[in-house]
Amino acid sequence: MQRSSKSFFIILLILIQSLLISIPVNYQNDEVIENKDLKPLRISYFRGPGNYTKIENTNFTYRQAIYRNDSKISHGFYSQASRIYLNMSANETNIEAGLDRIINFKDCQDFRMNMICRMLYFDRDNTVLSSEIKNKIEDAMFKAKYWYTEPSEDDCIFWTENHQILYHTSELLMGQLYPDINFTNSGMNGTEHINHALPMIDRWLDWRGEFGFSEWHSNTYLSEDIAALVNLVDFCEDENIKTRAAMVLDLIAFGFANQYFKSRYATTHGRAYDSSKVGTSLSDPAGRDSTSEAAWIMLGVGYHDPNNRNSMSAVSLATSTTYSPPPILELIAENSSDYYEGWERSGMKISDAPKYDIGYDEKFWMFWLGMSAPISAQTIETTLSIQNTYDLKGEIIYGPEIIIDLFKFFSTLRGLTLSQYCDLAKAITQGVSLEAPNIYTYRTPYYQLSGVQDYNQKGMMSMQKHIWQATLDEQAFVYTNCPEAIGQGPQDFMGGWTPRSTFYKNIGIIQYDRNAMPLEVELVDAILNMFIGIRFYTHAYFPKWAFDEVRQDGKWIFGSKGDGYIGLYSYKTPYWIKDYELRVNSRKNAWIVELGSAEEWGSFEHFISNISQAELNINPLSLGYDIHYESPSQGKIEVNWDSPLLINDKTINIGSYLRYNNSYCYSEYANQNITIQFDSQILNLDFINGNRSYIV
Amino acid sequence: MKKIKPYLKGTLMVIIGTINTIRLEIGIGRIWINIIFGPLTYIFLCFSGLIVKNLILIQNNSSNKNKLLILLGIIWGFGFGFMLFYVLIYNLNIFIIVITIIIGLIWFGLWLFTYYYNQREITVKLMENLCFTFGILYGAILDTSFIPIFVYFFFIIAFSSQLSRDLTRIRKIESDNHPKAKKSNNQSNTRKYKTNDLEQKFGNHKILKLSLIFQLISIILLIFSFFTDLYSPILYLYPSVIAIIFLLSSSILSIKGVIQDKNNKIISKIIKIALAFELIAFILANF
Repeated sequence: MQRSSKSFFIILLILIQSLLISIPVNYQNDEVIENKDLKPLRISYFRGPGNYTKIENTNFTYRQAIYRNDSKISHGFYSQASRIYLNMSANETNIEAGLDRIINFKDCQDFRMNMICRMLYFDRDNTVLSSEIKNKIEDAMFKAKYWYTEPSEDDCIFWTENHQILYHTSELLMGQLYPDINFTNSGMNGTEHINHALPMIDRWLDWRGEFGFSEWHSNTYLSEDIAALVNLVDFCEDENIKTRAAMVLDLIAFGFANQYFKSRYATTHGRAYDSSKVGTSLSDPAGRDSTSEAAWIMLGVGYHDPNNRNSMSAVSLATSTTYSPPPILELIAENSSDYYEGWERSGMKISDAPKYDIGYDEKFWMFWLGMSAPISAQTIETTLSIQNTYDLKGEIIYGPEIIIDLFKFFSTLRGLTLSQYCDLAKAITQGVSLEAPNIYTYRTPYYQLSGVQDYNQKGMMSMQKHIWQATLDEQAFVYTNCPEAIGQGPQDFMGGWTPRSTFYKNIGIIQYDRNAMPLEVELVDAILNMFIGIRFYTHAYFPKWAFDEVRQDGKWIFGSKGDGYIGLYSYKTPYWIKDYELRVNSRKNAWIVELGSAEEWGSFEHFISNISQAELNINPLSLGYDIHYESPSQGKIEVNWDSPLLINDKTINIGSYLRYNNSYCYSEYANQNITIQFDSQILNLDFINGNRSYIV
Repeated sequence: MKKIKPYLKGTLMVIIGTINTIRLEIGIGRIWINIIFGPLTYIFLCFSGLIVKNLILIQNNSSNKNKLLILLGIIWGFGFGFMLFYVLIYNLNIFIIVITIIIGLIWFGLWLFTYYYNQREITVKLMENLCFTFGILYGAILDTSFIPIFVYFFFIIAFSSQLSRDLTRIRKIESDNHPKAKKSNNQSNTRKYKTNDLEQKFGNHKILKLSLIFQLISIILLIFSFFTDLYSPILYLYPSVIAIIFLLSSSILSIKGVIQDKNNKIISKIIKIALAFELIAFILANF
């Protein structure tokens, strides 16, 4: 009832708007923008010092203008593109400083290269840049290295999913701008660069359309993907590429619509960092997701922070004249903000590849590297062969080269091939890869629970994965983790050993355990732990300072925030090591999380008394636990390490999921024709034919 | 220290037994519990075996008999209680309790055998052997009740090799009265004599034949084990081949000893080396 009346109101607004031709809207007298026809008007939030300020009647175009106007006063490198777009003089000193990475072939030079391309394209029309800085830019970009196959030694990672599209895009755009110029590093001219980049962009877009992102819902790297994709939409001369890039952007926006909650990208991430997931106190909260400004511009979800003026993705979106997300996505974000339940899958399982005509040879090497799978049993030989051919540094492909040397030694000792040994050590070699997760999300107005359902990598090691999260508020969110010495960083809360996690509506059961690896690998793990810090524990991130109230009842920890409640149970007795960290001195443990609200339970006391007195039986097994939990809200729950998830004796679907399965989209996995529907509006994304259609 | 060595060696076998079954979907948490608690409980069971051995040796001396019986009860009971505690706390395989009871029954059976048949030398050797080799089965059972066949093979290999060594081992004993005892320079009353006590009882011929049979059993099962479902068959191969070579050498010497009716002192030492390589093979088999 609540949802349908909201929808009616929104549709009514659209109808009223459609009667008007155009309404000029002034914003801080800096820029006059016009409301385009048939764009929905939404309430959007603008964060002033200390609190939120509500601005009525914004849409994508309006939010673009808001961001541009904040961005243009920044001296940051990326925000200079806003100034050039607005025909204002740019901070050329900072632009020149930003060229340093490109000139010296440093990692993440591609982020700068994309924004430089954007600036150059804007400057074609506005001619803001001085000839001096333009010469320096052109010099740097002609000497740049666009792919690992080109000459010059570098420290660059070309092959993660986001790096791939960034490099291909900058190569294409520079080629288009200077088709006849000889690029001094590669020895190719612009046209040759176009011919080199186009097939790879085409392939990358195909993979995203068919399988989605391997760096699923990354709150860091989707921001980079957005920047590259907006560049393609705005400047690519190939219509098919432009359209498909826009479609991928639509899918990213759809993901934001489904997963953003209370200004937080409140879901599982394939790659994430502690900086955005750990806050130590009110004065040092968890950082915003890098995607926050982009999500706000695209859909109005979350809020805009005027101090965040230099976001690569936000600047790109704010200065795009070609791309705008179809209004249906903003409607979905609005409509699903209170209630949502969704199942989705993205990426690929390594072993499933042959079913989809993906091989393990050099032709598909970029697919696997985009998945962080260079040393899996199926891909290790290809990786070493290519590394040898192009004299690439092992450290930037798979980490310290001593790892492979050790693998080779032990494989010889065991009479195995290297590939067979990598299969033996798959807890690491497969665990680091970003195999397809089955993602489950459940939302009410008071909380959101989202996580990877029964991951096939349970018990394996991961680098940066964030498996699950229960969110009540932007800062009041909870998750668990089992850290590991081997990892990128290593980090304290991201990555580590992957649990078997199972979720149903407001309940999650997360078990940590694993099989023994080959004992020499266990020995290396033990030695690394001695050097990096003994990490034989599991822990929960539970920031007491972010909640209105936190109470402990035995092994249950309860928190309330607004009208939302959370209870977290640990099978082994946890203890507070910091104000935001609960620790258990064991790598084997079971956690149970149950969420509730004032609407369901009334008082927090009532929630606590019911949950803490619930019947709970956990028996340790050889591997994992046998768990029987009588949830006061959902009933009897039974699960162990390998069994199905049973709720009141009914088997719950924990995978494999469809590509999308929610109220707005039902799409088979690996289906390149995705239809998103809300009321009478339909967005159809046909990746095979390159058709993007929106029907109102 | 020498007297308790076989009983302490048993705890090493417990760890080997645990390692040999960790590939059967046993979680890392469970493995650590078994590696810590398994040897601790097994030590008590072994010490109870030591008490039984002393009971057997002093069978006619009733004044110490009751004290030893009480001590036996305490140590075995403590071991059993400790094992029961950690089985219940960690929800372990109930078969561990059964196997602990079986060990107790075996000790009782051996004592009874000596009581009726007065074969003290054989019983003591069997007891020491079992304390050492049974550890591998105990360790395996800690992880799972579905013990793979190669673990049984390893047990039989270790048991046979140890027994074949015990049959041929020459010991130094102190004896005042033995005609062959040499007078020590420092002590006028104590005489040292090197002997194989079983050889004294059963004759060299029989002992060597029996030892040869057990050596051959070890060789055959070492070869058979390679063809079972080992996790690291190649790593197992290296030390097991060396062990087979040593066992073949000792077998040849045993045959020679049988033909010439002569006890070769080196046989026991060669089997000892073979046993060491067998243990390495057991460890590497599922490394």
